[in-house]
Amino acid sequence: MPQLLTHEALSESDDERAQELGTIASIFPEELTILTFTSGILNLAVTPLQPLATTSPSSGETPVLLEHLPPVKLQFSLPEAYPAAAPPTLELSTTPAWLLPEKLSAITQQCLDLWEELGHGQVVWAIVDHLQQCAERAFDVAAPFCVSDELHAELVEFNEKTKHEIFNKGTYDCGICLEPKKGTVCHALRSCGHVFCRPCLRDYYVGLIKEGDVNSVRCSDRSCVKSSTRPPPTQPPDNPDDPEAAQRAVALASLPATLPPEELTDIGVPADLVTRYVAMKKKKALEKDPNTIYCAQKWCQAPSRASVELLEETMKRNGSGYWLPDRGATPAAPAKKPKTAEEGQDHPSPLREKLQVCSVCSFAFCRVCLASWHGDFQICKSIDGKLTKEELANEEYLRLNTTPCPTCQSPVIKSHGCNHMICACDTHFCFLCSAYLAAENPYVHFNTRGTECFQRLWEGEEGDLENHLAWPAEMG
Amino acid sequence: MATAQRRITREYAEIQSNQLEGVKIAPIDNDMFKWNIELTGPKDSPYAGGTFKLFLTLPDNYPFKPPILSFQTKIYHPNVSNDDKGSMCLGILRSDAWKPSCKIAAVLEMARGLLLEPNPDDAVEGSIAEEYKSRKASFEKTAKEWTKQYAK
Repeated sequence: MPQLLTHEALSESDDERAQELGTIASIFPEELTILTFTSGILNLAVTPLQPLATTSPSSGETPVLLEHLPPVKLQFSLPEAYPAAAPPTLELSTTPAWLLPEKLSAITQQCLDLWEELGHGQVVWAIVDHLQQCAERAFDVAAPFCVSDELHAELVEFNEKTKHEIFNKGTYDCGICLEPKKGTVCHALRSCGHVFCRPCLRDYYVGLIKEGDVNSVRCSDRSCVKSSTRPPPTQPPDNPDDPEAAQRAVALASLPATLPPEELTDIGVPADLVTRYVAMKKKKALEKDPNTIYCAQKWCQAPSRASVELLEETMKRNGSGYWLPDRGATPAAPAKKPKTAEEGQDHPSPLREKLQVCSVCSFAFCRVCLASWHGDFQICKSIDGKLTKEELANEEYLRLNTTPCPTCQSPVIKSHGCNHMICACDTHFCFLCSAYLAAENPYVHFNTRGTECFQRLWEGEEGDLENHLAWPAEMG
Repeated sequence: MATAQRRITREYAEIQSNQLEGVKIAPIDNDMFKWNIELTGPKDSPYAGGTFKLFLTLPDNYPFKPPILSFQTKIYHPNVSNDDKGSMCLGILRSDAWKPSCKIAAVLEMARGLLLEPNPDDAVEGSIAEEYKSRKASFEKTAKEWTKQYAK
């Protein structure tokens, strides 16, 4: 005859064991599953007072702090002779198995010892109390808790899920509509944890993005100054002589982060506005960078591909999106200061390349003269007439040592041999005077009396090698 | 609009149940988007004894946009424009610095705080700010006179 296994039914039983179980059931109505009148399963939440630092072989250097661990399952039954002559039978486990079997059996032994200490009395409550105290200390697992990648992923997922469930059960006063809202319609901002209701946040951010005020897409709290969960860069900026840079870094660190696009999506900002947000943040970051090169087409003026790629690389290196503290050239990447660009002849940068291609209209142009691309060797003048030392030297070298091909204008250098040149574009020409030579009989140019190049076919046979070597000394 | 109205009503109730020192509020008609404000001059300021009428306008998309606060009573103050607009320069009311979680009560408290302690480094009236910094006695004299004359 099946009987309802409620704690009332248990408490009314004549059996002392059932009464004990009934008491436990009334204290843990949700955690206890009653199996029979004398046995049950108790799931005890593990929420350590200090979050447990946990790592795995490929989880990176920074441990994840777990606030919640999978519950400890205590399966127990109280035999006939309990409590006077026999201890309860106990079985401890966790799913997934994050506590090692040795650990579990040690704890089980502690529980059985309690039965002895209590002089063979009713011990279930004492056991539960002991387990809860152990749980508060995370069962004295040594931190950082190193586990396999698989288990690490499971523990992190459990932690997130539990935090989410607890959050959803709460009620929060939204700072925007000022109304109390259930956790299920609320959002805790990832960078600072401030809670608002999703509809309010969505309306706020949608408005800002529509107006183009993307740098205000931050926490809406008045006094929020948390930058992000990332610690501020500990190494001093590259130029310690620049106190302003240090100040700027501090000011930036105290700004709340702008939101990452995934978070906007979670809040319910429509996809087209999230796309607009990302594009505008990127544009602002490029505009802030004094080295950004813009398309030479007046109607386009989009940044060059190299500028965009460089920005993306820097962002990736800093581990931040364009949305983490608002900056273009960040203090962590002072390599992009204008000064460095001017002097940066030693280390090649895609922005130093003469050839720049527009990221939008694909127009290929020369960074120096802004004309459409003319090949690497054309001598051109910067629009403001200023050439860097390197460019001046290059120009001088080309003037002294090369002859332009009469067809493609490429400067051609002669390493050795006669003055009959064949350009990469298949033009035959004279290295001395740049005249076209007939492919079928090029030498007639050097054999015609009275011309400037008569009998000079082999002049400079040694090539420009000597010149080339002498050049740096001359320039010195 | 409905959201704005709900929030404004809530804020109004909050201020009613928790009166601000030296500040009186009175929404105009049933339109909760425009309020008459009265600030009494703080005791230890040249504005003591005066009552200053202000006008608070809340935008349709409040709280996403900041309220606008203007002095109806003429006042001699570095942070209030000396014209018929009487606009008040208050950092948190600039639209790029405004946060939706900022409440009207805080705005009004700050406005009154500014009477007690002007902020000459963020002034709308440069010459008054200059006077406040270098010739305080002269500033206070004029401020008192204006209070007597206009803020009765």
